[in-house]
Amino acid sequence: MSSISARRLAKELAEIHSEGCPVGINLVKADDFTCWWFTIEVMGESLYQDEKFTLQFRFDSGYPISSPAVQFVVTDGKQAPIHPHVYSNGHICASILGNEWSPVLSVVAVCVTLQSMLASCKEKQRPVDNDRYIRHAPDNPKKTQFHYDDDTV
Amino acid sequence: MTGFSDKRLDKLMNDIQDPLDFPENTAAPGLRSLDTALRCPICSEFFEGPVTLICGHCFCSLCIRTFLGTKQECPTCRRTDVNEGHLRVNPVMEETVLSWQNSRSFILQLLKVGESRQNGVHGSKKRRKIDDSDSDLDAERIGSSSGRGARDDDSDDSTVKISEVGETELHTPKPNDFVPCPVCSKRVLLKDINIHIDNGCKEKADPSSSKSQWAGILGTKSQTAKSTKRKGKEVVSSDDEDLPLPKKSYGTLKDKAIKELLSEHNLPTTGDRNTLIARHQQWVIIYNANRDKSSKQRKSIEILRQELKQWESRQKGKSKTEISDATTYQREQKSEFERLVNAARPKKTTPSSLSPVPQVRSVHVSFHKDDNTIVLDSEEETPRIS
Ligand SMILES: [Zn+2]
Ligand SMILES: [Zn+2]
Ligand SMILES: [Zn+2]
Repeated sequence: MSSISARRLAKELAEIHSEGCPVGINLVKADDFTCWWFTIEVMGESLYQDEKFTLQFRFDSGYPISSPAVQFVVTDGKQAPIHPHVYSNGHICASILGNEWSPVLSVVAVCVTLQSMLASCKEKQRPVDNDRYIRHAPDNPKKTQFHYDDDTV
Repeated sequence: MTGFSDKRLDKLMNDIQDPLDFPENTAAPGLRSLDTALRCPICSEFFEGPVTLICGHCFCSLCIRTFLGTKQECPTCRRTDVNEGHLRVNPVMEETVLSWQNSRSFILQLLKVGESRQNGVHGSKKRRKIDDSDSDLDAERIGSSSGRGARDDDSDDSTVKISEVGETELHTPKPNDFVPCPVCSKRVLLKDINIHIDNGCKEKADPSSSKSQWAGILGTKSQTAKSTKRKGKEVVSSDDEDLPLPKKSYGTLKDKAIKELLSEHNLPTTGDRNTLIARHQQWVIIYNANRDKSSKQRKSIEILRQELKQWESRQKGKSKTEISDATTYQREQKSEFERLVNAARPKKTTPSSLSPVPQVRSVHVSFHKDDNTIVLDSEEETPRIS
């Protein structure tokens, strides 16, 4: 069974291995086509100097038509960045992961977008409704329908 | 290494081709971007049955039809006034892709020969990039200059035969290895692959995975390729073949009517209402996407049925295992993963090119501001059914 998703991900992986990731982004785990981990650091001046976060991608067989489930890893002592769009359980409110996902995007493109989301952060704080959200949050962030009203990156 | 030079097998072993097979622009102007431009931005494969939307963006018919079933938007430019009715076949692109696929390995071989001539005995690191026919062992040998030199003496020899293209392949499988069929992706013993393809990808009796009805419809192993083809044509007359299948609004249809729609195309009528609808919906997509190819490139109805069946079994696996505890799926994917990653491995050994940042399409992102508007949606993901 060589699904479109497996073949697409194999190509993305081959490109990462041969071309490398953009600066500050590193692939740390890709043992299969269901779950990949990256580390993300913000380069240059930012509120996240010297912080390193781990980003998890989960893929289903509908990828890339269906978006990957992306969140920060918050186990094994890892922490989600403190950011107005990142919940303490690692879930991220970003339209590119929801209604603005497009199958022409790639895993690396998502990493770069989230890196720039952190880079442009002006104030380190959790989303206002963090506590309420994480109490009821589904395991899969794709099951949350975030509302994206803010057009700032 | 020779002996498996069958064209079909070449196709199979060239499974994981991508634009990185070609050197950077400075070394081979335009080739890498040409190889990219002829690929569908959704699946990253060469366009299969290319179609364009009104904005001019081009995709495989199957890819864009599947996508438009989830969202009315051009994946590339996000224009929203697009729909399936706008799809126009792009036979010129199809022709271009076929020609490029024919010349691709030849060009790679020319590049390889040219490179080794230029670089002489002291082969540069760049060489490895286009060297997609060397074995893994060779990647190790590259480290030692003596091994490299010995190797290059061979390649430097002006008697290098272009006709050898494709005969020296990576990880050449043995006759008793399972390899994925290039047509239907089913894993088949290498020694059986030609018979399998000649038989129109029919299974050699696989009672575990196929429902009896599917088996009946897809025929028994005793059937020959010829009878298969004839059977396909019986179902869809040549007049019908000229028209795309219309999309149905299933809401107004009784189960019986949906079953009739399926029977018309000699498809199974088993399963609950949602299964029936999903099956017919996917059949319309597969059928119409096939129609968007030039007649020479079209698959037989028989193979389309096979593809529908595979799609259905993938859907089942998908709904059974939620993404969070997808251990079965994970296990299934593991071997596939290893195969594909191994196929891609020689390209990874390219330390010379770790520098440039891959091109990332610019993306527009927005975030929520009004924190009271978050809605939890705990509904199960359902198959796409309108
Ligand atoms: Zn495609
Ligand atoms: Zn477009
Ligand atoms: Zn087959």
